[in-house]
Amino acid sequence: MTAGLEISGISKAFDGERALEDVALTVPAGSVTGLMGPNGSGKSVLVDIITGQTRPDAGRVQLLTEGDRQEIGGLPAETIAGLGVARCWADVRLLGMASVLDEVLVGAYTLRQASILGSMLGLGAARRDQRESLENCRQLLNLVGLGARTQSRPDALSHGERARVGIARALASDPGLLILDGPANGLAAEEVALLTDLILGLKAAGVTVLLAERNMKMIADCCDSVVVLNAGRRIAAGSPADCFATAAVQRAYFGATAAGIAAC
Amino acid sequence: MMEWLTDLSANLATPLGLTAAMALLAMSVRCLWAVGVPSVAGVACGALAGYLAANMLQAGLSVAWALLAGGLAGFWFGLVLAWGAARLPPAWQGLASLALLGLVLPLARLLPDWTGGREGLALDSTPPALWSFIALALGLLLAARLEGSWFGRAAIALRQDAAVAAGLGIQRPAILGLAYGFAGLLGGWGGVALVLTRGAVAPGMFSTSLGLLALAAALLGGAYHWLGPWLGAMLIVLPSALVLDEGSAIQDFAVALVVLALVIFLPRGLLDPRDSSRRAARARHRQRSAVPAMAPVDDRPRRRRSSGGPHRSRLDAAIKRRGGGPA
Ligand SMILES: Nc1ncnc2c1ncn2[C@@H]1O[C@H](COP(=O)(O)OP(=O)(O)OP(=O)(O)O)[C@@H](O)[C@H]1O
Ligand SMILES: [Mg+2]
Repeated sequence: MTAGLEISGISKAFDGERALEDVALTVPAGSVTGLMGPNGSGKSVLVDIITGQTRPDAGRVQLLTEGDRQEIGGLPAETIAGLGVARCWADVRLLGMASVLDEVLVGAYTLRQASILGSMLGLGAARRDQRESLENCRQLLNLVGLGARTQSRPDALSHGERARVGIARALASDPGLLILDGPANGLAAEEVALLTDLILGLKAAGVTVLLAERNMKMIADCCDSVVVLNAGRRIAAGSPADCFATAAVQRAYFGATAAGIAAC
Repeated sequence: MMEWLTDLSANLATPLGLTAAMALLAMSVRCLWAVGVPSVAGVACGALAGYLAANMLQAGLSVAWALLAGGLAGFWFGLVLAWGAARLPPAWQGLASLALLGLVLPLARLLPDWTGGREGLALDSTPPALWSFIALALGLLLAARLEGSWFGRAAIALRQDAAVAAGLGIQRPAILGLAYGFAGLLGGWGGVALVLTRGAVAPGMFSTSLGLLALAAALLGGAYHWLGPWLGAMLIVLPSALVLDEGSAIQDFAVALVVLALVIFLPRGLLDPRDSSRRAARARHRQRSAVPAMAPVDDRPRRRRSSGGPHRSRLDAAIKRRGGGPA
């Protein structure tokens, strides 16, 4: 079940230091929406607030599923995950499992059907459950281009491959809303291109994606619309091209407007 | 020849029974270690189960019933302990479990009707060692099953990164509760096996040094494979049970030394299936030069084999679509 998101008036300060102020953001169901901004602009804090890792000081976070509107601001992270919101972390954060496949399987936790007793006794339902999630996770690893590495040790992978395992792990819960925080961090250009392709594929499959990313090219290639943050404030919103053209965004990213740079 | 064999099996029965009991207790330690809690709470559950089993056997009930009841009592007590421990950070849960073991001795003396007081309870006859092996086999089966289940993976996630685990929808109280319950079940079987092997239960049996022994076996075997605690128990308990008197100062000294050495020099234990693949990975890493490419598009499956179940996903369509042309 694909889901949308509506955020309004979100503010957050850490020890009096403002991280977000009155931020609004709408992610229509089935879209890829960008959350852009330079270093320290508050993207990750906003992602943490949406996923329940951080409590906002003020504001609303609403999850929209098939005409239903549910306030999720301030709910525990595991509850929000249970509602179909999955995320990737800027620093990937794999879990030291024995294999790449296990790293992805743990992502299917919210879909488990077998009771613990069934798993203990190895009942048919538990075995079927296990088989299905294995099959699904293999498919996901194929999708992210790691079909040949299912049995590899996660720490034997390159950073880019690990980032893709993180995405497969998030997809394993069949999320209605997928939030990617800085997926292109530290990736080479060709890997960013692979990731872009993957996100476009997800969009085609109807997955709603919120892409919190600094990389302007990736945002331009993937997103239908984008919200730009700077120092915790929303400075622009609209199509990527329109946003890139605004003076505020150019100043935030380059310290000057395009016209100013051209004049130099 | 036959006589020699019978002698040998009679002589080995007690050491092997003890090893089975210790392996189960070590498995209970590992069960909590899996969620990042260094605790011997399972050994305390073993004490409860051991006393219960001794009482049942004295009342004339069969060993099978004693094992069943001991396991269930251990599981129940584990859940009770989890309820108390849930608020505490892992290290404090560990300390609390030591304090709990310290309670066994005075409690046994305070409840002489049930525990036999200072002398403990002696069974009329020592049941065959086979029962301890059955308990061990059940424990190993349980550990193997749990390892590959959603519970096993959720436990690792919780141990490694609580924030990521929460982000995956893993409820800490539920997983912690189950881990305590299973530690209690395994510890309960371990306690019953210990009582069966000894043919008696006494307050000194479930001491902190027994907890330390279980910890040593679990640490030596390593937390990364369900056979680890059994291997650890075989290496630590079997030799000392064959050679030394029970509870001798030398054994206690050796065990303490082993724990110390393990914690310092071999924190991962002997049995870490990830080591060999890690070595291979390092070798591969050295060979690899360029950024690895994605798998060829043609490798992607055209069709999911299973159609029903909860894992049906919207991605099916995308996988199919993307299977057709180059990315
Ligand atoms: N837990 C925290 N405690 C105190 N300050 C924090 C905390 N988390 C974030 N901040 C601050 O909030 C601001 C926004 O940080 P955030 O990580 O959201 O930036 P970002 O946009 O994700 O940057 P990047 O592109 O580098 O990932 C920063 O000034 C950061 O120092
Ligand atoms: Mg960030």
